[in-house]
Parts: sequence; structure tokens; C-alpha cells
Amino acid sequence: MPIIIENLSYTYSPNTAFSHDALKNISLTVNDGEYLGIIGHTGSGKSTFVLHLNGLIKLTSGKIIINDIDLSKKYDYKKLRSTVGIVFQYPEYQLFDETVEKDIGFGPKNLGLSKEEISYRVRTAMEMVGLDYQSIKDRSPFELSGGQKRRAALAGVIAMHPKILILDEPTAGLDPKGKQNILDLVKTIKNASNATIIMISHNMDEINQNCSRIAVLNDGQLKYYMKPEELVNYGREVEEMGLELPTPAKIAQNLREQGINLKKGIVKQEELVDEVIKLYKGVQN
Amino acid sequence: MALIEVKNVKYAYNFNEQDTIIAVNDVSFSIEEGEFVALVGHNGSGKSTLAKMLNGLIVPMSGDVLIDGMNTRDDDLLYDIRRQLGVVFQNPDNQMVATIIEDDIAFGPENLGLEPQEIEKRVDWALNAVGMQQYRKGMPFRLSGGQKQRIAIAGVLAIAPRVLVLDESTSMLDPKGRAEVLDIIKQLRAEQKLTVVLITHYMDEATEADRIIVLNKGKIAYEGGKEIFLREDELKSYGLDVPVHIHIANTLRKSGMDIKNIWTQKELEDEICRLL
Repeated sequence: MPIIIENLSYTYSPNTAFSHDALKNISLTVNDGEYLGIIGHTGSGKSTFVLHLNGLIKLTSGKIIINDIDLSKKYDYKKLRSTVGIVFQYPEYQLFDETVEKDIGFGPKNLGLSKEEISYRVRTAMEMVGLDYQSIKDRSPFELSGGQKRRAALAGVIAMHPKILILDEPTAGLDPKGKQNILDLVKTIKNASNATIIMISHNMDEINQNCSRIAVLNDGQLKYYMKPEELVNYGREVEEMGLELPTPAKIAQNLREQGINLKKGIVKQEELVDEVIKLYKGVQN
Repeated sequence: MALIEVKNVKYAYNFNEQDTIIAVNDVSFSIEEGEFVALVGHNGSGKSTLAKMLNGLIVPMSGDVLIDGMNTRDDDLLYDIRRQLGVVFQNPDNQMVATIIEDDIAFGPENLGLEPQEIEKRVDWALNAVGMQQYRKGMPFRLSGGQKQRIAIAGVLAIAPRVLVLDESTSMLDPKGRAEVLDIIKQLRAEQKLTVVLITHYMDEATEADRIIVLNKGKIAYEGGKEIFLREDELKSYGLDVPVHIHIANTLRKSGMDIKNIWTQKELEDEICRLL
């Protein structure tokens, strides 16, 4: 079942001097199994948007239907939260329990699952994120390294077996290798569970790697909702919103403005390299 | 003697008897006044431990750190060391001490025991230096991440240090915030002879520096110029990546295009234009 959002608006502190429209009339549909990227500068409404999707912010205006759960009506919170899992920014700060096993098992336990099922889910979630069950399960989550902590926090959400997995800047603060590990991990999770993935990021290079579509938020409005290779054709507009194009797209855009006849829609570095070499060979002949 | 002398320093974190991590293992380097040095390395390579050693927040288990000849082991010198070398850390929210921006920047100079007129002057100058004069009476929590880091930099500048150390100060910022902070560094370097040590894992930031020190597993793996960016496999073996535009240049060169060594994206574009 897809996610259907119609005319979603949200105002913080309505009817006061601090009233602020965080979301303005957003409508979009996310298909099953899609890998959606959400991008927008700080304060564009990204977080307000995703917090609606698992009911952490109560819907006040518009319509949201997730997996047949209509959020505008009275609904079962537990059912929604076992459907939609959110990994927040710096999730390692949310680890709390005495052992890694208990921490990851906390969510499943609250779903009222049997002991065997909880244990099975913890083991498989740890395996998926690359934490060795035997050697790590009894350790305090606070003794883990930074990268391990983030993986443990991710495992806690994966153990809920969400159909929709939302990640808010999952690679923030990591080095290049750590970043790539997390992106690969998200891909693995997606392939194994066929969950719908929604990833918030500042970094277009990162979003481009995997996303089937990108939603660009600016000042609470949905500005663009399209494939990455379509979005780069609006380069200057995107840059005006304080966002950065993927480096290859940026270079292609500048070269085009210098009068070099590159094809449209270049996103990846291989595409740029191939195009430039093609033109270079043309000049040589 | 160089402004910063790091001599055979070693530091380890002991979690319990079995679990000891050697964060910095026999590291030596020196930095001259006026240099712009990038200290890069993967997470856990020891960069932040080194940063904390530079201003004496931690003292090496063995070896010495000398700032303008002053040893960080000597408690009586710590105050003077921190007047010479200021550190801006990663999280902008953890570095604000006051509720009004000008008070926040005045905190350092006040602690130096300066006259009120002198403090006023320094706050003025520091706010100007980071382009935040109009926010003087504002509240830090209303600022964006990039603006907060600029205030944090101003707070350090107001102490008038000779060395500015930025310990992953851009890693929690969005692209715009990162660009703001980097522009301020370049501007400060252009206007005065400020020595800068930039600790980062963003390699495109490192391309701005005069000299690059790569840390890998607590040891220095490379020390030298930007030519390290031409050696992609070597960088990868240290857990680091080549900036995208340099990777593109390297690939084009391999494909037979006569692209000169470039360090910035603009240089790459100019090279492609020249050849097409």
C-alpha cells in the first residue's frame, strides 16, 4: 500500500505571535518499495513532514493514508508505529538500556511479541547491521565505538520490521567510509525486506546514489518531486534554495554555461566522464 | 623553534583491563607560524585526541606538546597556552555559554581580565571578522548551525590567539553552513597572519590547506602537499576519499586527456574547457 498525502499543512503555535507555517499544502504519493530522498535546507520542513508519518506530530490539516491507516481518523498508534520506523539524527544518543540485546529488543518487546520472536528479531537485526551477536549482545551500548553505536540504534528500528523505514540524515558526522557503510546497509535492508525507504539528507551526492525520486522542500512547500536526472535540469533554482547539486551535475552545468555541448541530465561522475571523453575524441578527430 | 611542536606523543583510552585503545601512537610534527595545515583521518584515527592535546585539555601519556615553547604538561602555563591557541569544536550547540551573542563573545576576554573598553573593542572586531555584527544583541539559539559556528569562531578570535584549531567544526553543518565557515577561514587567513589547523574528514576542505597531515590508526601516514590527492588508492587505504572533482580529473587523465593537476572544481572546469 502506498503512502498518500493530500494537502498537508502544519502550523506551529497557531494563533500566537510565534505562529509559523512549517508545511504548506503538500501532496504526494510514495509507491511501495520506493526509495525516496527528501532534501531541503535547515528549516524547510523536512523533519515536520516525516514526524507526521508516524504520528509524532498530530495531523491537523490535510490527509495522510499509510498502508490503509487513515491518520485523519482515530487510528491504532501501535499499528502505525510498527509500520513506520524512524531513525532520527544521531540515533546513537537514543541508546539507553543496560545491554545491546535489551536495547534492540525494547521495541519488539513493546509490540507484545513472544520471547523467542524478540530474540530472533534481535539476532537477525544485529546480523544485518554487521554487529556480532555473541560478542556484543551483553555489552553496554555505551561501550561501543561511535560507528557501532549508530549500527545498534539502527538495529533497534530494524527489529520492529517496519514496512516503511525513515532515516533522518543517517550519515551525519561520519567519515567517508562510515558514510558509505551506512548507505550500503540501507540498500541491504531494502533488498532484504523490500521496505519503502524515505531518507532525509543535505547531501545530493548521497541521495543520488540510490533514490528513485527526490522531494525538494523549501520554506514548507514541495518544490520538486521527480527523478534525480530530471531534478538536475533545475540546477540554478535548486542552488537558490541553498542546496548543492551533486558535484558532477554542478560541473556539467558550469561547462554548459561555458558553451560546451553536454547532454542534459548528468548526475553521476561516470556519465560526466563518458560525455567529456566523447566530446574530446570528437575534437581530436 | 616552530609555533607548535608535537614530539613523540602517545595517548590511550582504557575502558577496562582488556579493552585499551591506543588513540595516538608516537606522533611528531611541527607547525610554523602562519601555516594552514589540514589534519585528516577516518573516524577513530586519533585526530580529535590530538586536537585536545594541542591546548592541554588532555596531556600525552608520553612525549610533549609545546605551544610557542610552552609545555602543556605545566599546569601554570595552560592559561597562556590557551591565549595562544583556540579550539572550535564540532557541535555548535555545546559551545555557547551566554544567552546574548555579544556576552558569549565577551566571555573569553573577560576571563583574561581585560579592561571593559578593550573587551568592547575585541567583541566588535571579532563580530566583524565573522560577518555577524548585525546579530550582536541576538540570541544564539535563534541562529542556524553555520551562524552558531561563526559565533564560536568569533568567541575564540576575541582572545586574539595566534593559532585557530577547528576540530571537525563543519561536520554537523549543511553545505551552506560549511561554505560559510570555510569562507571565514579563508578571509581570516587573507587579512592576518593567523595560523590555522583544520581537522576534518571532508577532503574537499583539506584541498584548501598548504600542507596535509594524514593520520591512520593513531600514526602519521602522510605529511606533505596536495599531491596525495593524485594517489587515490593510497588515500582509500587510510579510509579517506578523493574529492569528487579530483577523482573526475584523475579518471579523465587516465582516459588520455592531458588534464593538468587541479585542486579546485573551477580549475577542473577550466582544464576541460581548454581541451574541448
